[in-house]
Amino acid sequence: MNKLAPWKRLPIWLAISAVVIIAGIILMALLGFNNAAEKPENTKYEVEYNIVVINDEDMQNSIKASCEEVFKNNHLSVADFQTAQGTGETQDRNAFIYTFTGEVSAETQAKVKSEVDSKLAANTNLTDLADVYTTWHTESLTSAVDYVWRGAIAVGVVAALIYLGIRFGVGCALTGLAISLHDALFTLAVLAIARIPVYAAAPVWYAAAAALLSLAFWLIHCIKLRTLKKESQVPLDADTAVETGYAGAWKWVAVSAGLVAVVVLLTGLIATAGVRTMALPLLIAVVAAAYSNLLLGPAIHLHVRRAFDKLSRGNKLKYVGKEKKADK
Amino acid sequence: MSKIKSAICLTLMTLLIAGLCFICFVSFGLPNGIDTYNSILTMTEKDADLGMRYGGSEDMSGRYLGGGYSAVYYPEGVISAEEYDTTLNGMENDADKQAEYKDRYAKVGNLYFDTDEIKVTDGKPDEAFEAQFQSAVDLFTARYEALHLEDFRVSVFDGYAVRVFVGRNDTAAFTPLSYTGEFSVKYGSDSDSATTIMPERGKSINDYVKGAHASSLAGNHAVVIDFTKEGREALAKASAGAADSSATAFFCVGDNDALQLTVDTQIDEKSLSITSTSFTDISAKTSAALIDTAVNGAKTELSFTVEDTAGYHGLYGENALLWMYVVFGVAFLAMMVFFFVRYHLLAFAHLYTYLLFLCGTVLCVWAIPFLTLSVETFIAFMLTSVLLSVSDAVTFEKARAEFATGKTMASSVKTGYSKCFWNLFDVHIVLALAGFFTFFVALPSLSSFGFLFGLTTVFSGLGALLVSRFNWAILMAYTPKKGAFCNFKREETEDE
Repeated sequence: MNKLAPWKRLPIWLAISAVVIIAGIILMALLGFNNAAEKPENTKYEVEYNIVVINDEDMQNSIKASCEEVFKNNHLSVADFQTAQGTGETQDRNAFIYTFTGEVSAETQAKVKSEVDSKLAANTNLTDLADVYTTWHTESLTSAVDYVWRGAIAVGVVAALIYLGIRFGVGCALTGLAISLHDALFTLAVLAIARIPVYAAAPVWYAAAAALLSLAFWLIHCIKLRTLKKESQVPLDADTAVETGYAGAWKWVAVSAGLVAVVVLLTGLIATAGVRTMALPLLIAVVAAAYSNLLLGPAIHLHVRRAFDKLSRGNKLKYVGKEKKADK
Repeated sequence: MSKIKSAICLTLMTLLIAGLCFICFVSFGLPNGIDTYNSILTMTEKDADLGMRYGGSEDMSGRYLGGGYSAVYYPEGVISAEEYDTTLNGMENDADKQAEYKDRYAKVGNLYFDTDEIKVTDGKPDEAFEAQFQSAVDLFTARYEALHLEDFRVSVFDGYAVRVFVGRNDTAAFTPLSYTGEFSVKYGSDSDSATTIMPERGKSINDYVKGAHASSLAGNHAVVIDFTKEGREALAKASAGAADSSATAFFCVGDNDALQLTVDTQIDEKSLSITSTSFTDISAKTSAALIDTAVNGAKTELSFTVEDTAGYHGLYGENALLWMYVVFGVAFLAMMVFFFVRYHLLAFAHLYTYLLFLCGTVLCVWAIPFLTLSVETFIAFMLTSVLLSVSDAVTFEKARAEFATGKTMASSVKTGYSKCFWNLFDVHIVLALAGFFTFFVALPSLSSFGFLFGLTTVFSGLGALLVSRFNWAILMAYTPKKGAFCNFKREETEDE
């Protein structure tokens, strides 16, 4: 990574980030995020049954088998399956709920209901004792989903950066702020561009995670830079400090990002489909944080550090000038 | 540390960890064959996505249920297909009645409309109904949003009904939040004889009331109603004689009581705070949201009945939680393999710290009312697990580097820790700050993530900087070959 000298290639990283973020913002404005994971428009087939079936697993399996056979014959693929239990007055009634993404035509609905009802009616073991009712429902999620943003992570990150500014210097805090903001936006942009299916409230959660991870990885750079400052006999110029700091930090950043990615991958790959839908897009946040800490962050910090060095030199010259005048 | 002290500490620490692990993770059936001892993890609330029945009780067929609860709001005059069919089947011996019933109800999608109440043409209700229904959808959505519940959903069901879904067992909100109609305040000895003090005829409730919100202080919940000058005067005038004979103020939405307040002194306040020992966080928020949206929200003339309430398994599937435990198991195993291979028996120091960290987190998620076990909190925990493991590894590596230069083990540990203490301290402080500030500002579920991230970062800091070092000290007291114990080696130098 050192041979690549990423701290010298700010225009390249800025161009990449700008293209992704601008394209993402346009798509966010035009299309929003892909909320398909939420199944905003869906059709449900509900099979309600009473206490007799609740107590008999064979009956439940026979109902499920009948439904699934009819769905298969009618080329319907089930997106989700749930069991519901009535509460209050209807607590002796349970239901199997099959969810299909999008619309199922009225003809298909009628056909499926008729075929399932016939199959269930033919099952005398069931009809002699149990009470089963099947019905179709359509569902359309309202647009209002409680977005959890409210600038929360911005406040969190800014609070942490104030501490960072006190402990590691204002320059480090400014770079941290820039890359945290960048990573949150970058993550949102990639989600919007790649049209990755996410739950409605999830994008802001991924953005928040990206900002937090970015901050955590940036701390590694800050620690290395501080150690370097303590160990060096003479003040280091911006280029040397960033280059040497980067050489000591990039492996730690890469390993930390790798560990987080492994944890997220494990969660996504082993867990069930719903958890996977929630967990795997988090990899984008990990990649964004790794990208900005391995490539963009050091390049930004070089310029920030140079600006602070210049400011500091300017102040010193003024002071020396006054002394010279006094000598004369 | 002397060997005796170490032995005592090690024994106590082992017993503590064993006890914590037992109460946190072990569930078993009691000898009577009926009751079950539930672990803390079993009793920990799970959110709607992972959901299991709260408290860990099982249904009749032995499955864990829970996850979430839903109800359907049907407009007056609209019934479900099931209700229609059931009523019709109940009339099978009376063909005339059946025919009359069929004539009365028109099928609209999967619902049936009472044509005596709602005009239906070509399988569609009239435009006026459609507009009123859309206002009702907006009203219900605004109400559930105002509760700031985790995992709530509001959807249009079968075209002309509203389905609401909440994550936790907050079903008490279902009925009050279905009330529609104008907000009014009545005053009198009982609801039948009470007189309406606001709004007066020809005036709007907005002339009297600005809105309402819930407040909470030290566990006491209240509903605060903000009055305009006119509203304040109206209430003060009505309650002027309350000191002599107490009465009740009825805060109504439509024909339903949203709140009742016993008045035994004159009320003359700009903001009226109503408290009750029976208020919970959710009931106070429900009443406030109901009143506030009745004053400032969308208006509808439709009234609704609440039906089809049901509980659901976790939205992410029945086995979602089980597989997340498997994920944790695999990650835990990988972590311990790394520590045992790299640091041999010193890995026990990390293991003890990690188990304390794990049990502490489980106990906190169980005990803190607003936390649930969810994918978000699980990932926050896993991230801070990585933080703790990396922090322990960093301290061990620093000590290893010192030991390699020829220092004694005690000196290596001391120097190693002192070299990385402030760096680790800063990392933990920064991340905990970010987590806690996120919690203060965000709404669920980012709020839960932020809080648990902050909390477990603090645990990780304490674990890495204090507990691990203590564990290291008590574990090493016995071994004569301290380098081999930790898999630390001296640097080999060639003789000149």
